[in-house]
Amino acid sequence: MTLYDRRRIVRVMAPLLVVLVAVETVGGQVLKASETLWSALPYLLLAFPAINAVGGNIASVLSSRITSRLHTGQLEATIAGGLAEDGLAGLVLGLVTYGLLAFLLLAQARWLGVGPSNPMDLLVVVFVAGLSLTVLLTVVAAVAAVASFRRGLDPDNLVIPIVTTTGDVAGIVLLFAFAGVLL
Amino acid sequence: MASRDLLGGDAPPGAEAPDRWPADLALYTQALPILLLTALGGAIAGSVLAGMEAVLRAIPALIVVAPALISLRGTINGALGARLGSAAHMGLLGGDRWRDEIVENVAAGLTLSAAMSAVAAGLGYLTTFALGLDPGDPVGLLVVSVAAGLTSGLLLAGVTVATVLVAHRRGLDPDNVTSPILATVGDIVTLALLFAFATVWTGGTA
Repeated sequence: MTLYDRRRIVRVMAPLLVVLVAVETVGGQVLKASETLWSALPYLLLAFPAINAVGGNIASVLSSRITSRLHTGQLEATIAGGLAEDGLAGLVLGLVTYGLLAFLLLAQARWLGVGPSNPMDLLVVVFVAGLSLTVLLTVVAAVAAVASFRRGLDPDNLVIPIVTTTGDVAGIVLLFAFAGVLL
Repeated sequence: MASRDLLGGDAPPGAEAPDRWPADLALYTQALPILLLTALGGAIAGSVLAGMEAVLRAIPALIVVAPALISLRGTINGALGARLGSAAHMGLLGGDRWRDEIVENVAAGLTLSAAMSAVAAGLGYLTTFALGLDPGDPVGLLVVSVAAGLTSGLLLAGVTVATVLVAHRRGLDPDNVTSPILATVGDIVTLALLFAFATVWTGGTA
C-alpha cells in the first residue's frame, strides 16, 4: 500500500477546483467583454498573464509573512496590524517588480510589432494596474488571514488560494478598466 | 500562544517571526529575484497569447477558458509539488515504494487536469451562450481545452517530479525550489499548448 491514494486526493481537491474554475470563468468573461480594447491594442493581451502572475506571487509572499507573524504571536490578530507590518513591504515589491515589468513588456511589444505609438500608454497602464492590484491584494491577504485566524482556522491553508484567485479576476478587471479610462 | 487553537499546541520557545519592514533585507534578496523570474515567465506567456488572436476569433469562447486553464495548472501542479515535498520530508522517496507514491500523486493530478479542463470548457461555453454571445464550436472548445490541459499537466508533472527528485538527491529542500520553477514555466507551457492544439483543430486556416 502506498501512503498516498489518488482517489482521496481527487476527492479532496475537486470541489475546491470547481469553485476556482467558476471564479476564473468570471475573469474570462471580463476578458471577452474587453475584446474591442485588446483587438485594437494587442499589447493588453500580452500584459495580462504577467500582471496576474506577479500580483498572485506578491500576495502569496505577504500572506505567508502575515500568517507566520500570527503563528509566532508577533502580530495581534487585527487587520490594521497586519497591514502595518507588511503593507509597505508589499508596496515596495510591487513598485520595483511592476516598474521593471512595464519596461520588459514594452520591449517585447515592440519586438512583436504590437507596441503602442506612445510608449507611455503601455508603461502607465501596466504600472497603475499592477500597483493597484498589489494594494488591493495586500488588503485581501490581511483581511483573509486575520478572519480565518480569529475563527480558529489555520490561515496557511486558506489565504493563498483566496488571494491568487481574487487576484486573477481583479487583475483582468483593473487592467481593462484603466485601459478603458486612460487610452 | 497564538498557534494553540489552530494546530493544537504552542509554537516552541525561540520561534522566530520574519523581521519587521524595512530592516528585513531577506525580503528583497530572496523574494525579489523570484518575482522578477515570474514576471519574465508571465511576459513570455503573454506573447504567446498576443500571437493567438486569429485562433481566438475562430473559437471565440477560448479566451473565456484561458484564465481558468492557467490557474488550474498552477493550483494542481503546485499541490503536486507540495505533496511530493512532504513525501520527501516523510522519507517516502527513499523507501522501496517511492515509484508507486509518485505514480499515485501524478495520476491524481492528471485526473484532475482532464476533468477540470472539461468543466472549464463547459462553463466557458454555457456562460458565453447565456450572455447572448457566439461561443463558436463546442466540440472544438472541449477537445482543445482538455487536450491542452492534459498535455500541459503531463509536461508540468514531469518537471515537478524531476525537480523534487533532483533537489532531494542533492540535499536541497524541494519545498523551496518547486514553486518558483512551476510559477515561471507553468503559464508558458499551458498557453503554448493551448495555442498549438487550437491551431491544429482549426486546421491552421485561422
